Amino acid sequence: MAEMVLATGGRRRVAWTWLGLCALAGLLILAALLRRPDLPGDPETVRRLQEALLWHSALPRIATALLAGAALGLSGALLQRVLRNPIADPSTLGIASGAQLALTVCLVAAPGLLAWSREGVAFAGGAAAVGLVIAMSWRRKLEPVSVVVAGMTISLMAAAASTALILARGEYVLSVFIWGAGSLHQQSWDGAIVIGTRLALGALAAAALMRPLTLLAVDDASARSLGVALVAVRVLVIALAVWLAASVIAQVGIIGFVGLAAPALARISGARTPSQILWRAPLVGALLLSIADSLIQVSAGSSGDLIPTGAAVGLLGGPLLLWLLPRVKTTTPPQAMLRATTPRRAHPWRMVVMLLAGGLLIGLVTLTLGRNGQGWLLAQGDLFADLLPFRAPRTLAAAAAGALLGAAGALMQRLTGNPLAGPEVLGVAAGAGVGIAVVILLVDTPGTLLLMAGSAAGALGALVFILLMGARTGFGPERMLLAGVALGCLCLAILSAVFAAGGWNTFLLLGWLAGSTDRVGGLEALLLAGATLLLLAPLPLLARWLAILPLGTPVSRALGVPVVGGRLTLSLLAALMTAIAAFFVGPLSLVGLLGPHIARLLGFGGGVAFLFASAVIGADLLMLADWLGRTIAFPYQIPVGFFAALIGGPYLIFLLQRGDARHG
Amino acid sequence: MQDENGAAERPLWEIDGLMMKAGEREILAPLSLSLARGKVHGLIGPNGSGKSTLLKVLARQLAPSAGSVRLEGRPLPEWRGRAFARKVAYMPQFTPAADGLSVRELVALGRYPWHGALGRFGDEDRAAVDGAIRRTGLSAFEHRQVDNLSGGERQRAWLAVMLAQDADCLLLDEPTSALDIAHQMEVLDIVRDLTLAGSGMAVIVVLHDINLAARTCDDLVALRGGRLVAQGACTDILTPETLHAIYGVPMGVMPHPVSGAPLGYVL
Repeated sequence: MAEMVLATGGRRRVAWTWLGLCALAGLLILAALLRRPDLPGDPETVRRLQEALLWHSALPRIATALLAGAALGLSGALLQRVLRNPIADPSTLGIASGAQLALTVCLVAAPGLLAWSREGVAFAGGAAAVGLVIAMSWRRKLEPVSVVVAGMTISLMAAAASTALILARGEYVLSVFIWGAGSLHQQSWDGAIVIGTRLALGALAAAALMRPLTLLAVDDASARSLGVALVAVRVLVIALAVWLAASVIAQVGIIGFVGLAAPALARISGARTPSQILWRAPLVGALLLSIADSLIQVSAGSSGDLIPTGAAVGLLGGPLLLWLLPRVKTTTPPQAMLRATTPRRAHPWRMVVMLLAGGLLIGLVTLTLGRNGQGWLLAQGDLFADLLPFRAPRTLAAAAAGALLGAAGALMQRLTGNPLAGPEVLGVAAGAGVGIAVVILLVDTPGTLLLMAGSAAGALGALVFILLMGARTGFGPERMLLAGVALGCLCLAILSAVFAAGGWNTFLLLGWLAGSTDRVGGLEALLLAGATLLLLAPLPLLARWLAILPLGTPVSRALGVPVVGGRLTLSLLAALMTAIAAFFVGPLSLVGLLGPHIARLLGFGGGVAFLFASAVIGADLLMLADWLGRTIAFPYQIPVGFFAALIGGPYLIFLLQRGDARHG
Repeated sequence: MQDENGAAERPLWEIDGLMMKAGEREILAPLSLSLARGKVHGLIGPNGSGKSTLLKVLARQLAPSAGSVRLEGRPLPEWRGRAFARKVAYMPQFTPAADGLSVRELVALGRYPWHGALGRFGDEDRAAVDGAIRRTGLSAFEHRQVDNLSGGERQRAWLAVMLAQDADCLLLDEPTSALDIAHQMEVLDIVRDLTLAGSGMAVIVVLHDINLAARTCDDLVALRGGRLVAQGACTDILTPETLHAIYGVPMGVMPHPVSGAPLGYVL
């Protein structure tokens, strides 16, 4: 009896909360409508203009916000259901970035295709991204953390490619950023109508798929024995979710994390069964986006919105993910741990020496071989001496940054036992970017040292934050990884808001994001090399911890290894390496993921040799990328960070796939 | 408890008023017992009786909610990590994937409590690793990758880690749960032999199967619902009344046709 009273009381409170939220949304909409700018001119024209604005801009915007929020909410709810992953949504799975990349590519290469079907292009990009994410995490049985880490990696790669295009095409595509950050400005009802029809169709399809979706709550084997055509249902539902998200992205650009927040809030409001969540999530999404957009409009200055709505909502994403973290079950199937894909090498150090020799060779080529207006040119004698001051610092910087990233990646993969963990997905690098953004915004023409200080401060802030988050769980590796991903999301949202605000010096930030070594001077290169040696030197001393900690907390504790202290030390080291390297080559290079994987492929099973091999491979890769980036598109230079990411990304996916095939 | 009166020296483990709670649920009721050196102690009881939890408390994997546990008269929290690991070796129920390590490399990790993070891996360490591999019959496999071994071999490899650790007390959590009967015997016979040589080593092993426990252990400690039901020699525990009290189902006991040892069966 008492329980029933309590339950109805709770329900009543939830109902009041809903009513309150709806009222808030309504009030804010009214406020936004009332706060429209005064127009100059004679009263009659103003009246008609105001009327036109009301009917063709303000009202469509309200409708678009509601409908887009609902569509994203439904998309997120579907994805979370089908992947059994409470932190899946179009942003964390890379769908948004994939769609954006596809649209950017089309804008540059085939504008006709865009005129024909923006939605189709966005869908293709989003579907490709989610396909890659699933392929990458298939081997880990679509375990939630791995899926999101893979999603973030794909997001970063797509972002790298988009940024490369923007850099190459200058201001022409810069408008893509503003659109990409999800501005809800409308000139007609078209957007609202398109999203509305997609939403209606999507809701119908979701209703039709409700039964199989409910059965997906049990594990695969049981669902199959109940007669669910698993693969077909999964593919259908994912396609539906991607389509919903893609139609929103094609109309208004990326609006992050509504898909993440809506189902989560629906669950908090008491939705338990899949159908309850699927019906409530769109409502919550609509309210959420509407409130956010109205707030943006109310706070807007005379020149327009301060930041695009999408970027503003994206800022919610990081904190939301962090809040959801404790609810995520991080069950790692024991068989899905890392495994060497090739037989172990008997004399690993010989191979390290060979890799080092290879590095020297690459360095020699980088220093001497180049292009000029006529063709290839081998610099000798005086020419070599003339070119050395230009070429040596950047080569050294590339090598050192690569070594740092490779070692950091190896450390993180050992520490987390997750082959998808890399310094790029740890929020530290993105934190460095936010530090740089702050410097750029505050100072007119910042010098390199100031930028470096900003980068270091940002990275340190991010690091402290991740460690604080990790401390609550005894530095459990999976949680740290997720905290890093969440922080990365938050920082990228901040960065995209800064980009959207525009201004010429955002190009400085773009330059950092791209990671270019051409601004490195001799002193900086030497400093970087020194720091690299300093950070790599203690690795042999940590070998035993690195061998034991991956075996998990129980075994480590049983052997008397200081679990918390050990993890803290190693994380700190990895984060420091990442922060320093990211300043020079940007946060996107993927070398930190690639280095350790190639080392494994070469037969390094673990231990110190593996760490050093990863570092040397990282150095070789970045030197090569730097040289190729300098020569391949001569006289233009492709920033080293991008170049590495663009080559490394596909190769990484190939590597992960290969492992997939071998181990099933 | 008899030990305290009988033996001249202190028991290895003294457990006093140990309590464990998960939220409101009591996993271990106030529990007091002591465990002697030189014996194989079996922890038995039905599912959820708290036997694994007790073992984890002894291994310092879990901190108790109340009560004290003393090892060699010293309370557990006072032991430093490596010093404790030199005394007590623990194997979790589910051993983790060994991530590409060879058997020998894995076993060598057992020497960490002795040489620490920076100490030299000396002759003594090498001898301990050799001995552990020999005693578990893994000499032929020492350069194979642990993850490629069969279940029984893998379990022996982890046992070898504990032996290399050279501890006075081994704590094993259902070391045979995933093995067939032949491999169960293989692992448990190694455990059995550890205490025979008069080394003074103690083994505490959680076992599901009452007959396997009786065959392997000197003494049994029976838990039910977090409470101590019985403690004593196998012949004292394997009586119809005691088994009924432990497992809650009517059980009978008959002599083994060959050895004559008591065998429990469900009526």
